[in-house]
Amino acid sequence: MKDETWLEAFVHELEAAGVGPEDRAGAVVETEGFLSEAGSGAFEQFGSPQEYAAAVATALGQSGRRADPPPGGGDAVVVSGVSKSYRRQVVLREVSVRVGSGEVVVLTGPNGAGKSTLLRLIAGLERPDAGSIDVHGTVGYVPQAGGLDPYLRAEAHFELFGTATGLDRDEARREGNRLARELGWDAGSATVAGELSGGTAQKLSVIAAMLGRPDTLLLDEPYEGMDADSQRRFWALLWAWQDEGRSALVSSHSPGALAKATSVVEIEGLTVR
Amino acid sequence: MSNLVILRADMTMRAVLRRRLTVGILVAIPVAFYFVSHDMVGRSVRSLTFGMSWAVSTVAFFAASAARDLEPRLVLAGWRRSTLVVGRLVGLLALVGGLTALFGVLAPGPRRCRSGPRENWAPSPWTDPTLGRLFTGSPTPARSSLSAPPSSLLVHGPAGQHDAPPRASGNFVAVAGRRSRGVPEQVVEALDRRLPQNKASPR
Repeated sequence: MKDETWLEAFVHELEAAGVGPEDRAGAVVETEGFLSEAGSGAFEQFGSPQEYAAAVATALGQSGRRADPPPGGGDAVVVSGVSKSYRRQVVLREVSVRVGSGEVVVLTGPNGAGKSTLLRLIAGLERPDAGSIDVHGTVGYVPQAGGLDPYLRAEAHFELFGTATGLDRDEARREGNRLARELGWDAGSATVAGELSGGTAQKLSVIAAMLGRPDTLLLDEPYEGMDADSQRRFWALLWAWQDEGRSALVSSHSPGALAKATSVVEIEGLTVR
Repeated sequence: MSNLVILRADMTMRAVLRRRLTVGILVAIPVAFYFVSHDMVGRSVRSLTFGMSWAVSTVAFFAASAARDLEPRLVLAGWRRSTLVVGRLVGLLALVGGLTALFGVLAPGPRRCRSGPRENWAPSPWTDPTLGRLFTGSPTPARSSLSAPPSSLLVHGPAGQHDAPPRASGNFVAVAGRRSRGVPEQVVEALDRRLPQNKASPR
């Protein structure tokens, strides 16, 4: 990674962590000065921009991790002792997870740990073999890939998802376009979903789920393929969502995501650690 | 009909019409079925409708496959599953209506063309209407001319006129050399007497 790219991502991460403009400028100047003296690359010196920004924000007293959830309390999702197998292949074994109202919980773990399966179980798209899942309120689900009609444009998706909650077609399009702008995307001129890039298709998928105004969002690798700026905007949108007292369960491998969540749940060896 | 059903129908039609392969199937299969039996009285239109039903079934399969990804998410967003299915069905039925209208214009029914004395027949679907012209560039009864023996051209008359109806008369049977199929001589003669226009045809 070039130093310029690293610094750009670092600035975005600081902004996302809530570091003010003056502190951001100071941190960037200090970092650039250190790098010019050290004579080596930024990544070798500081690691990933996400990690370093989180450390700087913590040092400045503005933790990269989101503060406590807004008052309201209660559980949005309670998963108790859930197991799931596919043809004798155990995918989840007695997993228990709790997501409180107004919380953003990150679900992490190695590939094949069962993160996507757990999200599908909570969404009600599959049934657990054992255990119980209690969902309070409605859920919206963003799959890792797909979940869209490849022959419909973005605005058609906005209409389909928005009208389900009582918006008329024009309102749904307007609201979808507003959310798209917040993610730095001009959805009005977008082509059909099947021809969108991976990151843009994920933006459309996230917006579609948000248009349903569910109480809990289930996001499976939501910013797979998104650039750094889009990821920052995505988290800003998710925090605004959280401020409304809504919850989210985000499956992610990204170290940056761990720093931004209210809490982190790690699935390892088929169960929660 | 609820607005949600109309919305789903609208989206189904948009998605189907954006698939080039699907649109090709919708038009090509019925046309192919039509031309397989274009010179047979009644059967061509039956074949056309059979081809349409096959094409529409294929398109419905595509639409249902595409919906497998999207519709579970729409149900989570608040749609009723029945509304989605009915909406998809209404969209497909609207496409069928459009297709029926299209082929209704392009391929007129043979019964209308073939009733009454031969002099009053309307041009056959093969020789005159737009469908024939579209695909041959010529109103000549090409298939009959090529496949039948030269003498059978006599019953067709000049190019651009009518095909001989399969059960028209002993004339046709005789000229095409099909007496051996077992049509009794008396029947042929009776038919000839009953259909005066055939008496004018050379044997």
